[in-house]
Amino acid sequence: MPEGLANRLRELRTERELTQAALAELVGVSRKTINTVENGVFVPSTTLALKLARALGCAVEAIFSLTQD
Amino acid sequence: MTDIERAERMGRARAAIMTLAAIVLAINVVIEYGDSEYASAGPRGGSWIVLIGLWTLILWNGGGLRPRGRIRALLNDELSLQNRARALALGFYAAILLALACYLANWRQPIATGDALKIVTAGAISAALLRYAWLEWRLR
Repeated sequence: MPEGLANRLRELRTERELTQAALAELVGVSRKTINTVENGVFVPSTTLALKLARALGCAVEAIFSLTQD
Repeated sequence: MTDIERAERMGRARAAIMTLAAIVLAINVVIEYGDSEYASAGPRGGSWIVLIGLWTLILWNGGGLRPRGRIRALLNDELSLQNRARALALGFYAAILLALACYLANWRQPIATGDALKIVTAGAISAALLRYAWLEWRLR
């Protein structure tokens, strides 16, 4: 079965009381990029995923996980 | 205004300019179709080369000719690069389809080489510009 990518970025970001713009500032991308990652429209590169994890102070696996469609 | 907000504003302006450019290119082809003056060796014919060359360059580098450093990096971040790749792919398919259409149309009624090349180049660039602008507007 095909696998999809789920993420908890919005949840983890709001837990840390960060806006999309603030998180974008921390990782050096546009706010639009954060928004599209949160909505599952854009799958980020490994580099960006690692930057997001570093900015949120958690492991990449805490943000992204594989789901079965 | 933060760098993020400034880049966002410039990104929206870029999408709007690209939409306008695509429309202007398409209108140009329609208006100039059949007029050999616009495809001949001279200022009018040459201006087309400059126009297409300029928009190809902008599609290639994202149009960030002026901003440098952080703003430029934000304008051309991962998402924008992916959008541009998708837009360029559509432009390529549009070029192939338009070239085939010209080839077929030429069987019924001959098309001047200059006109055919303008249809293909303008169609490809316009499709890529519109696709890029649409992706940038939609995914905001």
